[in-house]
Amino acid sequence: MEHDEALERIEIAAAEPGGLERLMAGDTADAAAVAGHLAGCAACTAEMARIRRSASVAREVIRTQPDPALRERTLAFVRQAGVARGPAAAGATAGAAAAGAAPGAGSSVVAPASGPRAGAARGEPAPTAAPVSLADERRRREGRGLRAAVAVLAAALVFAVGAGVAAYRSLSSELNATTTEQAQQIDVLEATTRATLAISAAPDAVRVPLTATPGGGDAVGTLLFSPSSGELVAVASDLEPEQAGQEYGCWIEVDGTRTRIGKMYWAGDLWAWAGPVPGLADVPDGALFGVSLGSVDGGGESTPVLTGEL
Amino acid sequence: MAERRAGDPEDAVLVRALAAGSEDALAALYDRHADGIHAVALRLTSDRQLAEEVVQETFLALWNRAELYDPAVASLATWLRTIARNRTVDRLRAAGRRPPLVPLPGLGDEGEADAGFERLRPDAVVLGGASADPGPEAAAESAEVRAAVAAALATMPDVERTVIILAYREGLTQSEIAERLHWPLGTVKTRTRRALAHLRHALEADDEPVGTGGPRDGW
Repeated sequence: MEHDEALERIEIAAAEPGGLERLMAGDTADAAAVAGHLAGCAACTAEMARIRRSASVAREVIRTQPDPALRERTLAFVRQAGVARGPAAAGATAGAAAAGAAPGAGSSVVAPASGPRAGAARGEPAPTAAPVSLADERRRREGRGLRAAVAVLAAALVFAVGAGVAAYRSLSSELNATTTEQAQQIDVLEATTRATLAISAAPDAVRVPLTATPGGGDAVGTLLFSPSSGELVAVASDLEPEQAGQEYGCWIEVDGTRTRIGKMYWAGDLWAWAGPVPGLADVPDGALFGVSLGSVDGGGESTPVLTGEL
Repeated sequence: MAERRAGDPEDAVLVRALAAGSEDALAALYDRHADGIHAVALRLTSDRQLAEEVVQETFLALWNRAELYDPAVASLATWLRTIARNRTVDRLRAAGRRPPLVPLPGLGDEGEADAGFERLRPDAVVLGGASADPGPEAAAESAEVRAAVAAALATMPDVERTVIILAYREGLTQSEIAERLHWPLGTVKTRTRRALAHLRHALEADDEPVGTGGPRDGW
């Protein structure tokens, strides 16, 4: 068998499901001929290795490409179920938040300003063919009894963050209902409560009380995380107000090395951070979690105000 | 997936625009990251419908929680894939299925693209399967590799794209493709070889972002 013929067989096999493996097994006349050529031809052997690598990667990329139609479906779904955004969103946010609607898994409560429910908030008729979540369709088909679970989660939500919600509502009544700041506080509070519920449901959820450092005054806080999911939520209250140019940030310290997780966002009288923390499952026992007050630009020393041992 | 070009805004800039209500920013971030998110979910579930649901929920989470993204902590790709992985695992657990042990490449952030780049190096010849090459799945995580394949598919003739999609996406054999398309088997083989040549050129071309060495004779 010549080089060209061997390479042609290899190339064709690279497009077949399991083709190269069958070719290398040498259990057909063709495969035996190719194997015999490869045994004495280093150039073709190397070329086959390159073909196998390129074909494997190309196969994997093509196999995992999403359906092009998913793009429009996803954008429509976010438009329908996402929180209000933009300058025109704040009014719609407040109204929808008061109504307490919560469509879509992991979603928040209001539609974006350009979305269907934002239109309704502006007195416009809702479109007749709203985009539908694939997840919602599946849930309807499967007919799962989610209502009881939702009721339990709602009760847990009220219990877990009741104080924060009450404080927030008290505060929000004094604020201009159309401020962007208010909308952001709602988003933070909702993200925090959703994360709290989700993590609490994890079998490996860990709750850690955060205690004030000598410089932390009356600050109190709680850390909740799930090593398996990598999700973490931290809530703090009674912190001293941030001064201009300052912010509260949270971090994890392992073996004396402190890694910043993110900024603690203010929501009413709570400061909170929620989200995934890469590598959380690998953090060793005894690592320290903390909240510090520092400069927004990251310069200078930050002052720990709350800490807790993981 | 759209390839990111010089001058395109950084992810963090797009996230800020998204947080301000820009649906254009959301669309741009979808074009940039949907492939990788879909791949993570599909590998964990082998269920295209569930993977599509996870893509929807991940971008909803991005829209709703954009303020919580901190580029100093992780790249957006890592953040989104972590969310997607968690959503997928939640779905599998809810369905009583055990999530497979699939690592999540890319936690090294800046190293993500380089990881895929390194894994395509043609000079790292596999000998008896004893190479440190972590495999095509990890290489396919690279946004640049995915962009290179997408670009090659977009620029190859329709007949070549058709056969390679049927072969790699639907897992058909050459004979099955010939039967479905009513083409002679020889024609299918010729077009398949040409399609593979396009893909190899895209993945191995020296002057491409995923360049892996010099041009090869016959390609």
